[in-house]
Amino acid sequence: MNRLWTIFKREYLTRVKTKGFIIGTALTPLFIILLSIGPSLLISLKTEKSKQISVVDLSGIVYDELLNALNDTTSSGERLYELTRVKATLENMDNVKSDLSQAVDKNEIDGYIVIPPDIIEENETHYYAKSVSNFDENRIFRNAISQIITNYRLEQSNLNPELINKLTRRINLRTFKVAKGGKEEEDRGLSFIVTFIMVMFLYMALIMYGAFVMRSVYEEKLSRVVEVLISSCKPFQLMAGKVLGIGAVGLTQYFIWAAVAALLTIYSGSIIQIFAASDSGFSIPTIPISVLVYFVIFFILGYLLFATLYAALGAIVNSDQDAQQLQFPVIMLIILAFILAFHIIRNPTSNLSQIISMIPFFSPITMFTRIAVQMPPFGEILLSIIILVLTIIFMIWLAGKIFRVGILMYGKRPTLPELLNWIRY
Amino acid sequence: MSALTIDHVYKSFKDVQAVQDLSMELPEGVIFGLLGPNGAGKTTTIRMIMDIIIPDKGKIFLMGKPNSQQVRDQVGYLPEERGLYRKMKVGELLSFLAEMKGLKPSQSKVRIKMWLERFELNDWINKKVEELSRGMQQKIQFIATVIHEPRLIILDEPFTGLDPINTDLVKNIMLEQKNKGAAIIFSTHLMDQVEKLCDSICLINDGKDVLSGELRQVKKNFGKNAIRMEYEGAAKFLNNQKLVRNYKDHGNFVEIYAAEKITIKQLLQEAITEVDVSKFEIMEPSLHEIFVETVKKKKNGGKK
Repeated sequence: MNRLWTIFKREYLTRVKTKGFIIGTALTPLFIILLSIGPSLLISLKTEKSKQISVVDLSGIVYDELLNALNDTTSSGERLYELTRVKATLENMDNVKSDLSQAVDKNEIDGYIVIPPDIIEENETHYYAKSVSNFDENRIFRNAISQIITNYRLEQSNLNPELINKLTRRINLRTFKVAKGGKEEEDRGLSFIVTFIMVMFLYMALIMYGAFVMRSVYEEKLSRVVEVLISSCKPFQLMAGKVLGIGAVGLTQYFIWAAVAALLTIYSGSIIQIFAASDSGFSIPTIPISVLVYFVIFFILGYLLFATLYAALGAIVNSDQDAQQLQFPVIMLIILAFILAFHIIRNPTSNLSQIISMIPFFSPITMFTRIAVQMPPFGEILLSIIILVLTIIFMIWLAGKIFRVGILMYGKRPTLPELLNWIRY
Repeated sequence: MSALTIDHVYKSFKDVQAVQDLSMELPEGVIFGLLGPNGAGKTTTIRMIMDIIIPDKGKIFLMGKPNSQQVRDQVGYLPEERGLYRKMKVGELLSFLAEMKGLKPSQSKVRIKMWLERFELNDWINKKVEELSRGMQQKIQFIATVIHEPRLIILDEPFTGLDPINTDLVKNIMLEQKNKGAAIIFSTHLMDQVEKLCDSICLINDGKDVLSGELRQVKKNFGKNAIRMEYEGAAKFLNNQKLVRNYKDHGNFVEIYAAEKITIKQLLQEAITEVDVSKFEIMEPSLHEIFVETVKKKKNGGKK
């Protein structure tokens, strides 16, 4: 037991003290914050410079309306799109166009729009610029001209555009989640995002920390440090010390993140005011405590299951290539669980969801997804946990056997029958 | 009390008999040479002593007790395959390895300082292991082997990679530990080191004890004393199989092994009739010779 603690301590301290851990722990929340409030931040930023756009309106019905429609302003309050009308006829069109293209090339104007005379029938207009990959801008032009043409057509048919718009208004669907006890809560699609983020975290943790365990084991094996260690403690103590030590590193990281998240929730109001436009409707959703508790439980259980598996694989490995090859099936298993989680988000109560949330190598992710989306009956959660714990006990036994023999076996990677032989020892 | 008792131990892997009916008795205050060709079963034996692998049959006692964590804490083991955590600092690493042997950090701190000073490595205490040269890493690993003042020290090829100065230093420490009452198992292929350091030896081949005992006794029992002869002239008698079983020309002198039933007197008489003998001396057989002879004999015996 003593030695297990010594190994645990070394694994934990040498990892927590590395720059990689400190940077990774600090950057991840920053990254998530940027991801969540970054877009609204970017949208609220206004372009500084106004754009010179020339318009060749051969139809003669668009330009005046367009001048009204494109009324966005820059940060300094000027018009974002400075429109200039360019006169042309069908005959001198080619010359005008080449002149305008020259002007674009010399950066005299930012772009030009050509509205053909038969736009009403042909339903097409052209925009020329150096860069036409700004989808937002393209959308703005398309919508504005579309609206003008539609209104024109309606008027031509003796219909009142305002009335039509009023009559064809879209219906807004607001969603409410009915939680335990019949409590209703408005949900703006954020519960999906929160579930997704948590499942993502679980998925990343299983792959990342599992790989850490594997690397730690095979590095000791390949550097032959293991020979000295194994003469001072039981192989099982070595394996357990590693698995628990690295697991504790993971928990530490999550604890720090949870603390940051808690602070964010408390101060979310003021932070949002600082960063985001006040009307962006952004709010950090609250996660029920029970879901958080299950998150920790399934993280620990899932980690133990995969870490022991990875430890056994690490003991078999004889080179970096071996490690990558052996890692692949395990990662596939976790990815599969992640893909299945999407099915569960859509159909949390289907038979398939129930079954896959019981299968031990999937359940850390799949059962947790069910919990996050729609709390299943407690009996099902318990059954899933029991199956998982029994599998973990079996895996620890199995991995212990493989680890003991593998850690001192150099040379070629063992075949499956050889592995079975080790287990029988 | 004996530091180590190996009692009729057997170990096989699949179809290979790695160790077969091996018995050893190692008193305290003795340096013991564990010899044998590559693949003879030395590492397997050492690993069984360390309880890394379990014998199929037979028993091993350390300090008179069956193997346990407590008993193993009194053993220091320097494996042939060296390895350290490359990313750890020297001081932290030694402290960790000492703790793995049950030493408290407060105890190990003083000893780490003392040992690093002795090996002239005290400037390196806060450097990472990967910054050290191969030889320095060897010394660090040697320190880790003896830092907990073990009563049984197992050294597998301790001199590889060390320069003559550090070789002498390690040798002195070995003798020092021996005088303190520690028992040392010393496994090596360098026969002259064994001759200088060891009190007893055990030569194993194909997992079997083929020659063991006190070094002096082993040499005496080997019987075939070599003759060192310095001479001038053409010594044709050396090629006479009836007189000379084998000889080695070292340039300045020849090393002669008499054929069976030929006395030294007969050989000397033959020699002086042919050449001018300037020196004729009876030598103890070298351990090298004993090793080669014994292993070869077994091989030939096996072939028949």
